[in-house]
Amino acid sequence: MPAPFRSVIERLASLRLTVVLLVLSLVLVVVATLDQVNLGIWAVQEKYFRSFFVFQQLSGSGIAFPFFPGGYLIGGGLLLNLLCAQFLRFTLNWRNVGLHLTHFGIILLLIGELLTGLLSVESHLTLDTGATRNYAEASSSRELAVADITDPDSDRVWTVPLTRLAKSEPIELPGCPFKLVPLQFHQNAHLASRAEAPNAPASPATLGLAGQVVFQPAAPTYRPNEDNTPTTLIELRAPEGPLGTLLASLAIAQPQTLDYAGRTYAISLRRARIYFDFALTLVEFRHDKYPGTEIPRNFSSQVRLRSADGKEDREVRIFMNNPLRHGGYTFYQSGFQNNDRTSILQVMRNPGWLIPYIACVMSGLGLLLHFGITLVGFLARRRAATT
Amino acid sequence: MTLLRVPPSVGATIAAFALTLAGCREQPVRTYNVAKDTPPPPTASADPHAGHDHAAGELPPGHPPIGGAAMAGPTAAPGSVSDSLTWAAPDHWAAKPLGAMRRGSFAPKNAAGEADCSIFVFPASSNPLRANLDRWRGQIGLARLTDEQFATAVTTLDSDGLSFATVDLLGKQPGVDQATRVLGAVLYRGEEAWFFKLTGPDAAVAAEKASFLDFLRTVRPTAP
Repeated sequence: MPAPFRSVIERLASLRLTVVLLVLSLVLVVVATLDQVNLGIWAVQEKYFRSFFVFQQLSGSGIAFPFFPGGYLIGGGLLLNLLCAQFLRFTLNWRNVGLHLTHFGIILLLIGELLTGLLSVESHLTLDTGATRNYAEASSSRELAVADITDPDSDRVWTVPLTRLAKSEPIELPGCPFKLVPLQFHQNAHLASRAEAPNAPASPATLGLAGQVVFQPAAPTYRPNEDNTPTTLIELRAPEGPLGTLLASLAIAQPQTLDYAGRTYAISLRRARIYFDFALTLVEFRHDKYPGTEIPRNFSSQVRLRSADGKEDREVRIFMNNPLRHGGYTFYQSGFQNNDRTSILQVMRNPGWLIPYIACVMSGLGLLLHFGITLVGFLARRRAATT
Repeated sequence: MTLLRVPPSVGATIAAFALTLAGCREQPVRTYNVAKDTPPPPTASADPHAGHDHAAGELPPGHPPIGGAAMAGPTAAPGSVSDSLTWAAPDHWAAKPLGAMRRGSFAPKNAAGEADCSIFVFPASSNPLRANLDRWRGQIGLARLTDEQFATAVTTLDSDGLSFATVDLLGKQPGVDQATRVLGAVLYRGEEAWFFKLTGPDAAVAAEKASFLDFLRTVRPTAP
């Protein structure tokens, strides 16, 4: 191995680096836990753990600067540190099998967490009895959706993440004859009809509901039982000029439609949708109670699963600790509404869900092997000493 | 003692790489085709064409003219009701024209005065009960509910399989001398949150309380 390369590997494999990274991770966990009071669990996960740097905004300015390494950087550092240590010190010796297994288990655990952070998506599927859905709605992600609904069979949909709306740059929609120019974006706002708030200032919107709805920007909420109402004012700009300004908000339930150039477009700000290649129909929701009491005994949803290609058509019962796993998604019984006629399923997609189990088994087995081998060696030495 | 002796070039490279990754997280616009969404229960506004003749490019009543484009709100035509729920208002409640967001609008009138009854529907997910109760309270000058108050603030009215959370609030609107009463009911139904609200001068609303509760009992899901 070239000397400079080995030198770098040795430094990256340093035990001091391990200690520094572990201390940094401890500090990160403590600070993030304390900040949950202000931000709530989802925002804390994004800010502290699923980021390379923790950014802090300078008060009174829009400038954010990185002030602490984030979870990805610390976790990535630990992974690199462990890999380099293994690379330098790996020797194939049966006495070290347990240690190697343990270390590979930890490496796998770190990779698994990275994959979970990058790839896992949590969403919810709300089904009324008899209703059929082929998509779930993301728990914490919202999107602006523009759909060309002209054709009778299918819609052409463009979805814009809200992070793009927070910037004032025009947003091109490939294949769409107009583009979106965000004029205002508010992470949270209160909406009211003009009738409810007759003295509110005039709305700048000119399209759709236009002045019939007024809004008031509000401070974002991070309480776990409250939801923000993201609201945006966007200008629709065609090649010949602006078409007008539209108010879109999570509080406006139904899409607002626009006729332009012979086609009809439906625009809405909604929970981000995750489409499946199958559909679920709620056949029955059961909320069983112990006889003579109001104490719940069981919640369960009988659902009919039909694949898009028609090859699969079966009924499944989802209940506590017995989720439905299908197509890479896991559906858990999560809640119910409307006098037991609506079931809420939590939908998880986590391609790396097995990795932590495998990693823990590997590490546990490795520790067992290592301590077993050490114990056997110790007992053999003691027996030899006594005889 | 130097704790770590990583060459500056290595540190700078790692930092630059991480910052680059951190800066490259802008999500793109997604484009896809999807089959028509037909989520039950249907509502009048689920069909974006409801109440509007797009072929003729007709604008909704009172809509400002838009050059080259016709934009239509999701409202049902005045006088219609939602397809998802039906109700029967008392005879002495005069129906009022629907605004863009009202699904029902009535003017209960009695010897004590005239009140306003409105029916709205919003996504349940972004309209938690407590936030809405606080909003109603704020409109008549009442403070937000404490945790203890919230626990006892709501009276449940069960009717035909529907469960309404009802409140009776009395306060004073800023700048208005007489007391204002709000009788409110919230119904969570699937992804929809339905808001039934009777508001107006205290005496006029109080006289309509029994009628309002009877009115809630007439609310039914539309037969499939």
